[in-house]
Amino acid sequence: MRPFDSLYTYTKRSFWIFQITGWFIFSFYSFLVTTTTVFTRASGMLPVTGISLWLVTGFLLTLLLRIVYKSEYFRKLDSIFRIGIAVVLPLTLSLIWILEFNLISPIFVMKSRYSIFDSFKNFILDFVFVHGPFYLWTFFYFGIKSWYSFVDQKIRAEKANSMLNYANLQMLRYQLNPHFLFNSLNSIKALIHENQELAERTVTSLSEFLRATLQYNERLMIQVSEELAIIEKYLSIEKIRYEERLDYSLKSDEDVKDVEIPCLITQPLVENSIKHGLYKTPDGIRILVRFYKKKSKTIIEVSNSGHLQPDWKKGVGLKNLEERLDNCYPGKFNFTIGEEDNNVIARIIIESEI
Amino acid sequence: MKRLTAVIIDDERLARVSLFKEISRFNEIDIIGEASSIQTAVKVIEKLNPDILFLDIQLSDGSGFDLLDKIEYKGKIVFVTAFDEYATRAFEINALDYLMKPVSHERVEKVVKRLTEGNQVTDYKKSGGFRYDDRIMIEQKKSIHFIKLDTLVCIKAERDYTMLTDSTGKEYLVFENIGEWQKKLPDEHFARIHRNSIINFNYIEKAEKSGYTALIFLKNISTPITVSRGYYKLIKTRYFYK
Repeated sequence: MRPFDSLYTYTKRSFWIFQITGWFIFSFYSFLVTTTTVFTRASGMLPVTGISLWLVTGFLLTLLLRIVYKSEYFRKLDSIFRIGIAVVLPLTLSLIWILEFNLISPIFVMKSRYSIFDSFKNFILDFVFVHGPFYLWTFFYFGIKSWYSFVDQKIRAEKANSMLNYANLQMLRYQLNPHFLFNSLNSIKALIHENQELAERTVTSLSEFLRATLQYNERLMIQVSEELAIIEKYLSIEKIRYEERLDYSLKSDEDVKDVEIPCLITQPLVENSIKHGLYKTPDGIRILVRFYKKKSKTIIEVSNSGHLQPDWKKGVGLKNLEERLDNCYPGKFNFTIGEEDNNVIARIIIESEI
Repeated sequence: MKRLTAVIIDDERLARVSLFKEISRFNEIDIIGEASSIQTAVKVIEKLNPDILFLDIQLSDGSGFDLLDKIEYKGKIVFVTAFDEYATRAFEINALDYLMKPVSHERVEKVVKRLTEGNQVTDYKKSGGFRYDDRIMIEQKKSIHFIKLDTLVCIKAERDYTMLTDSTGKEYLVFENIGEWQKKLPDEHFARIHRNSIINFNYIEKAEKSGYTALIFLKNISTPITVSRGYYKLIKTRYFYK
């Protein structure tokens, strides 16, 4: 912790730093006034012990104020009652304080010897030194509190903003998998000599897939037919990398073609199928992507031949996907991954169109 | 001049073709074989015993590092990867040669020059501190291993050497003294609890007081480490209040 952290953000220490500093300054001033003014000189004694005791009482009384202001009960009151308490309570406490002052200090004993002028002076002194501190304390207490909550809110807002940006960046990064990008470019490099036509086609497919990824927006909805076209590009690029180890087909029923779904929602599923399906499967896999309708439900299905690892769990990609679905269709979707007849099937069921 | 022999290991055919093309421009290196998986690579390397391996990090049945654990190979290695932050960091901290796909002509030229001049330096000792997810290269008599620091259980000093034990109980003797290890290992996970031992906190199974000393039991390690009460206190504060 840096030494001034307690000043910038509210910590357990903050209150005590202000409380002690404030009282220190006030004490210094009190001693200065009481030891140099005529009253004390006239009385012929330095009321150091008395004043100290008086200051300690003041310190403790402000702690009592804090207990009240901090209490749940006080904070739940209407603002008019809270203002009332903040006016009456400091006054009550300062009356106790005056009583103490009169008991310990010779100043007030001397009072009668002075003229009207001095009485007025005493009144001012009374106000500054006896009522004043508690009101000033109250003023600072609420002022500093609200300053901290203001700063805290600003910090929170900034944090939330940067977290959102970070999440977006991660999302983009996830979609635009650099491993995929560089491996594809590497394949194209080899294809240029081996099969020019395929190389050309792959450059086009890669560009189209990248364009879709860059246009990608959290809330962007596209038609199933468009989604299918993008996923086909993606699979065709992967097919060039994995050759005979990857086989795929895509299907969509007539009645879902113009249904709108979140852009690229299928891509993480296909990527997962390739990544996990092909791992330790030298023979290769077959991926089937299907879009269809069942009653009023839209179903997106990605299946690959193979088995689900017994210890599998949802990774970051799938959690992101789930979050996105939850944003688009709160409580109205179902996302499952399971094994059926030697196939691993990921299925998104969207209950109704929006 | 004798040509160096090399084998390319990559699970994508086109990637092998592309690398083959780049390397065969250089007369100094003769590519004598290729493999697409760990399984086939093990056989190819045993049969051909090449001077150099061009090794992809992501293979269909595991990683390039896994392959090295399975074979006795002491030749040179050039790692190849498209994009892998962890692997790239491993190459960097161990000062290894590596190529990024798609490989550039200039980069291959540099690597080939280093390989033929025979001054490939593989030395993690020069690097700064390690991160917990780093892999460090350990050379043994007949093989090369890349150990992930998070699988490292303890390090014990044996004169000028240190004995490393990993979570599977495998031991590696390394020419490096314990003080050097202490400087490099991340201290949120590792601590020197004794003059001659460093342990990984994440593998502590139990700690027991006995008289003026204490015993530390580590996972998969049968004999506990005896430490003084002072170190026991250190473990208590670090481990139990984590």
